[in-house]
Amino acid sequence: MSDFIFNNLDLFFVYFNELSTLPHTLMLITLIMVPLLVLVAYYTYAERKIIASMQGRLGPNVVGPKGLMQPFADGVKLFFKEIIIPTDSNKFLFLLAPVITFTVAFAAWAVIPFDSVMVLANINAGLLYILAMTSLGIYGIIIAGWASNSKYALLGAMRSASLIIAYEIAMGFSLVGVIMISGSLNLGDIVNIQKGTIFNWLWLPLFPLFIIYFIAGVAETNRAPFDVAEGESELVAGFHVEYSGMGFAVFFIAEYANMILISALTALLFFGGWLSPFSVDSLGSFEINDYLSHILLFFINDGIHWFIIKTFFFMFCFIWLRATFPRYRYDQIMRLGWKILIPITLIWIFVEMLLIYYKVEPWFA
Amino acid sequence: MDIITILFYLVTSVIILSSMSLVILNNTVHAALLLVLIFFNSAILWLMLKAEFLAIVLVLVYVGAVLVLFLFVIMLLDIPIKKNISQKLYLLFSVTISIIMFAELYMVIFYHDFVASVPTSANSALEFNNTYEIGLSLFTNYIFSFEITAFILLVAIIAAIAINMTGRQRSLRQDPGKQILENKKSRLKIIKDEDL
Repeated sequence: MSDFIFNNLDLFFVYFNELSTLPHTLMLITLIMVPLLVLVAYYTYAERKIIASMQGRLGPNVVGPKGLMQPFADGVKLFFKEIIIPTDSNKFLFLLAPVITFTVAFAAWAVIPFDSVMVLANINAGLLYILAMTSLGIYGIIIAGWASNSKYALLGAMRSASLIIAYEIAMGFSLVGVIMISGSLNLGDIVNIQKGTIFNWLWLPLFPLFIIYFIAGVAETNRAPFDVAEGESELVAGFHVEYSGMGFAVFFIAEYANMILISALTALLFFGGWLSPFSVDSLGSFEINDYLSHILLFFINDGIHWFIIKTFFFMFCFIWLRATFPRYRYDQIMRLGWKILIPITLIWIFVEMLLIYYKVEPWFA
Repeated sequence: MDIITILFYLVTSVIILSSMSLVILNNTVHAALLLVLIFFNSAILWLMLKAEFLAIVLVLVYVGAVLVLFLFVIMLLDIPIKKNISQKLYLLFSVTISIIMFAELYMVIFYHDFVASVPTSANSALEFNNTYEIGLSLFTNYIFSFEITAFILLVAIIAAIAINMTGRQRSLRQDPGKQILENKKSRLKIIKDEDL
């Protein structure tokens, strides 16, 4: 008996050694999650403020200085609201749907490189992993729509699902263009081949694919002008019509996290991630002895701040699009996705293939 | 028993249990969702075999695309949940099929040297790139089977579209070209008072 216990004690220590990397990984995950959640909170605030100023209104300005505490007030309000579960709904799936959406929205961040060294999991098939994770987001929507036992929710879920399937193909094809140039599925490698100045980034040789990628990204996140899944004038609120309180809040957070993810990916794949738009060598050698030029040089050099600036720009574009365009009709969205975007990407992949085959310079690395 | 072995038994038991309940369940939506769980756990199994590319592609293709369409159809059709179907005929078929499958698996596992037939040397290298190797062998050694598979899939897609194209068009559809060409003149007619 005592032998048994001692043997198992040994085993315990073996496990303990294997588990000792766990706190480290958990800490890194927290370091990504917490800033992301804060960013989501202030993204909603920024959206309301920016759209308000575009429409000549004030936006939230009561809670805290300049309304800066508004997201937290909203969060607290949603947290204390009653969670209502519709009659004859599937309770387990109804509660599972927001969890799936939330998990998938944040799981994709595991492979995002913030810097040349700052990455949680530097896996070889990083881009495929991200495609897989974003394609899983649809389950949260479908399950939410079905489990709610509501016609509006089901219709919204179906619309959203067909929209995501249609635009995922265009998105995947535009990523094929990126893979063809970089010759790698690793996000760090894809950024590294864009080294140089702003003209070495992939947006220039792959301009049509960049535009299509961003359009498909907006559609994938169910944002305006592709927000037929919500379509408040027809479907009340689409798939999350029956959700109240925290259930709704979780869907909301996941949607914004997905928007930030698409912005970050656009920055990484087409705009050189953490790379600086200027090449430091091209600026010539200037005196680096005073304090100011040190700061200037740090800012000009590659670093996470460039990645953040680029991501923020595309996040702004999401809001800009929402304030500018009216909602597409459902059949128009399908037509745009299947008959315009997918053929353009196919033709561009073919053209790019020829350019690489004949070793034309910016495409053939 | 290291942590990988424990994970293996956990994952396989989830797969076996959920495949059994997949067959038993009456609710088709639940069954489809269990299939998602099974695919996910199979992907974990492949990850443990260091086949990260295959694992991610399994999730991407089967979970992210094929099963979404399954669920889509099941939810749109709204299949009623059958409670008391006569199960004798089903029982006969299912027992026969399971006996055959069990016998086959038994023969494969116990009469065929399973471990020896698996090549081991390749993936021991540290800098082994899964995606690269699969791409290389797909487009060199297996190029014909790869192309033929792609062709068969294309034929299937065209066939599905062709089946749906026959018959008259039942839905009213907007013609975007016509919509764009509409202008004020073709839509508005100003009638003066004295004309009436």
